[in-house]
Amino acid sequence: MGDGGLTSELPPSTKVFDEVFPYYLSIGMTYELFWEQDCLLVKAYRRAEEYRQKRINEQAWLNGRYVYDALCAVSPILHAFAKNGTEPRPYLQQPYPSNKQEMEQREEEQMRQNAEMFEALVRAKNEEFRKRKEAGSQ
Amino acid sequence: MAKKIKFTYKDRDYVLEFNRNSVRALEAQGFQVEKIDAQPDTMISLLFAGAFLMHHRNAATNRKLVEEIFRNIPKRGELVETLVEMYQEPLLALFDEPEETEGNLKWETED
Repeated sequence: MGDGGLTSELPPSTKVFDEVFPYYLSIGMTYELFWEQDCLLVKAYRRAEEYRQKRINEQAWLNGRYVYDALCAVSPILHAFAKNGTEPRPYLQQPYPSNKQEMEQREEEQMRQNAEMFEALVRAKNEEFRKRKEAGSQ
Repeated sequence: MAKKIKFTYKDRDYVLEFNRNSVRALEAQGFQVEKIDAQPDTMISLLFAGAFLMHHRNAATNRKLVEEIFRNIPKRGELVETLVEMYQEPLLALFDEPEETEGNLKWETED
């Protein structure tokens, strides 16, 4: 403090508030929250905006990944010298799992389906074997 | 939560705090934190009265009451220091503090 030095060159707080206020409006703060409520709220709003930006970025990335998958699926027929009768590969049956729990559920479901298929296969083979055995004994 | 000063005077509870509106009002009245040393009487009175604006707008305009409370408050040096910190909080909250990682300047207080 004192009459001189660095502090006397600082702009009044009001000027800074007026300059940054539109930014805080743009990230969802209201007039009341910015000017009249707890002055530390801005910190939480900045953090929230970081999370929002991160989420937007992740969504854009995911969007790009779906587009990439779609292009890969149709790529066989986009080939200039594709043979007659070439079919596009099917698009994803369902969206990517959005969290670890969903991923585990999908894995379990896949394992269950594989087990059922294997069981059906064994049953069919056994049946075939039984029929062949019966035919042999007659 | 922002820093606050709480006290009771004549059976009434008071909470002193600054928001951006009260800082703006204070600066509009001519308050300049760097002039506290040069004009302590004027600046400290303004600062103290300004701290009432957020929660006790009516009391803040009652100059007689504010001066009376100020005269009765002990440890005035500490009070002014705290008020200055509180006054600066709405501005400082707008800036991110650098993380305490290697390479950043370290500082400490000394008695």
